[in-house]
This record gives sequence, structure tokens and C-alpha cells, in this order.
Amino acid sequence: MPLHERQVPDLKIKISVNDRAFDVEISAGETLLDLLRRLGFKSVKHGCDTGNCGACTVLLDGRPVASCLILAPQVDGSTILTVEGLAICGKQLHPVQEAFIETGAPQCGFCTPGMIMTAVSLLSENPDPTRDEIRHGIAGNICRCSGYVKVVDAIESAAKKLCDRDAGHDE
Amino acid sequence: MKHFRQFVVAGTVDEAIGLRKTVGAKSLYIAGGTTVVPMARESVEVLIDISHLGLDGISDQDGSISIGATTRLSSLLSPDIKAAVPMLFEALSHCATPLIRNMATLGGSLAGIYLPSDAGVALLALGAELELRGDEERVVTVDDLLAGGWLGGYELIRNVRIPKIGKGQGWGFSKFGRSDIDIALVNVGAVASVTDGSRISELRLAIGQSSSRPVLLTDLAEGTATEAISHDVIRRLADSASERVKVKSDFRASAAYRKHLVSVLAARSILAAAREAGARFED
Repeated sequence: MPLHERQVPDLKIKISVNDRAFDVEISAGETLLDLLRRLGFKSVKHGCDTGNCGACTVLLDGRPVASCLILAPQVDGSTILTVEGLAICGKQLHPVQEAFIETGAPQCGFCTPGMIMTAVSLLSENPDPTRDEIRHGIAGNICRCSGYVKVVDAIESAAKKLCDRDAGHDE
Repeated sequence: MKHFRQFVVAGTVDEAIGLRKTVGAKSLYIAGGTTVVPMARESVEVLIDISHLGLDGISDQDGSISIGATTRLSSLLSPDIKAAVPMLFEALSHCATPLIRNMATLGGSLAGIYLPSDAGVALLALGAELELRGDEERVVTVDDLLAGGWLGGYELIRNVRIPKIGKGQGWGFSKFGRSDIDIALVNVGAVASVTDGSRISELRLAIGQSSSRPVLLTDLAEGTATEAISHDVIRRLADSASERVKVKSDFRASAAYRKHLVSVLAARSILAAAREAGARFED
């Protein structure tokens, strides 16, 4: 059989989203963004669809990516984390989430889930970033309320919270 | 939802090429997907995934660094690459956003070199070679490819080989965009050889985004090879580069503005490259 006539490898993929296993049927053109929203993860926002705004940011195997630029068949076997999966035991908010609330960083809130996911990844790689490093870290997440100052404040404050928490564990 | 109808994960390089050959223009290779997913034409129905072919990874060889085509850009922002190919590291540090760099691959950003690629301009200045696979294997420099009409229909980039900067050589890379991470209005990479700490004996200047494709100038230093380096010499080299390249007008910048940028950025890159190569001269 010529290659182009053979059956498409069955478009069923296995992924883990927020520690839940999914065995889902997908179509070749479905983006990871489409899929996650279809599965009910509505924190993942449909913004620009071109990878420019970052509203659809999720962690794919631990790294922040724009889920609108990734096709579902590309992520077979991967582990995905969205903001719904951040709270500890599903109850206590993650320190980055707490810091965003305390600082008043969300304005309209549309960019916030993506911003938080990027911040979580940034702080796991660089636990004590400078304000400049934070600004570069969130360069792919656009806030059209233009409220970046409080977002940077929140990430700075979250870094301190995480550091204090880890120090507490060591004692 | 995108318009693609089939997504095939290739198991071997031969399979990927065979499939692309059979399906033809209705197919494209996909690795990171950051260009293919948002920009592929409606006529593209079949995507051939080449990201599981073992074409990723970095190896340090004698005098050069070899980078697999499907290596992600974020994997190249490492201390090892900073030490071995600092110019590529610098170009990638300000290329797109962290979200894009986590998916985009080096091969993918070269396969679309007519697109705005900071990495492509750095590799053009460095004299990088691409190992290609189509019906047969061939090795070509980035500037040969630019001159010769780019990749063949189903050719695949396997590997990128980058010569390390030698003794007495230095590099400089400058980019100007609306913001740090934006598509460059102009980007310029320079590799200079300095003799006796006082003369630029060789200069490779790659200029991107000034016109439809990047340009490499290799004979600029011939006119000044006997002169001691000074800010005046660097100014003249940069102005001469700016006079020689074609410039385009588009929604990002006018041709006149780009011409000005080429001159300013060429001067900055040549100055940095000359200093890096050990040039000594008065400020």
C-alpha cells in the first residue's frame, strides 16, 4: 500500500493532565488548546491563536508552551499541567496563586492563568530572579490591561514565599 | 482547530522522506510546529512528524559544534553553548519568547530562513554548514544555500555544524526590534579576524531583515586591511555595508530607516567583534 493511502495511525492519544490520565480521540488538526478546553480545562484561554499572547500557556512536561501552537497528536504520552492542577491537594492555592491575589496582580484576569504557569516554571528554574529576569521570563505573556508592575511584584513575592516554604521544610 | 487532515509520526529518516516524496506539495515536515501550525497554507493536508528520529542533541567536536536539527532552541540556551558558540547563544537569547523557544527547533528556524530568524543570521556569519538528506546526502554552507535557491522539495536538515571561533577571531551580534523579543527590523552578525591586534584582516558580515533574504558580505575588509583599527575605520566599513545592501519597506519599517539601522548595527557588531578578537585602539 502506498504510504499516503495507509491508515492514519489511530488518532487516539494518552496524556496526563493535572495528574489525571486521559485516553482521548483527536483529529489531526486539533490543537492542544482545543483539546484541553474540550476536556474541561477552561483556564486555558483562547487568545491570539498565533503564539503571541501567551493566554493559552500550559506546562508541557514541565516547560511553559503556547498550547495554540501545538497539535494534539504532538503531545501523545506527555504530561500537562494547567492552573487548575496547581493547588496543593486541590485545596490550598499554590504560593504563586496566593501572591497574585495578595498583590492584586490580576486585572481582567484573562492573561492570569498563563502568566501564573509561566511564573511557576520561571521560579522552578530560577528561585531568586531579579525584576529584569522576571520581565524577560514573562515576555511571552501579554497583559492588555497593561498591568505588568503588579505581576512582577507578585512573582517577586511568590519567590520569597517559595523560598521561605522550602527553608521551613529544611528545618 | 486547524485544517490538517493527517498526522504521521515518521519512524525513520527514510520513511519521512519517502512519505514527503509520495504525498508531495500537500505535505510538510513538522518538528516543533511553531511555524507550521499557525502558518501552513490551506493546501497542506498531511504533516510528517520528524521529532522522533533522533535528530536532536549537541556534540562538541574538534573545532566545531554539531547540533541536531530537531534540537529545541531552549536547549541551546545552556552554559555549554554559551562557551562554545557564544554568538548563537546571544542571538537566541533575544529570539522569540520563552514559550516559543521551548518548542521551536534550530532546523525549523533555518528551514524558513527567508523568515525573520536571528539564529539564521548568526549561523550565516559563522559559516555554519547544514547536513541535508534528500535522495542523497549533501553538506552545504548557509550562504551557498541562500545563493542556490534553498532546500529541495523534500530535503530534510539533519544536522547543523558550526565552526568555533578561532584564535584572533571575534564576534558581534546586534538586533533592533520594537521590543527585545520582537522580530528584528534589522539584525547584524559579524565575525572578524584581527592581525597584530591592530588590523581587521578578515570580516564576515551577515545582515538580516534588510531585504527579502539575509545577505553575507565577505570582502568588506579588503579596502581597509592595511589600516590600523579606529572608530573611523569601523564607521567606514559599516557605511559601506549599508550602501551595498538592498533595503525593503514594509509595515515594520521604511527602507530609509532600515538603511540607517544597517549602518548603526553593523558598526556595533564590527566593534564588538574587533574587540573580542583582541583589537586594541583608543576610545
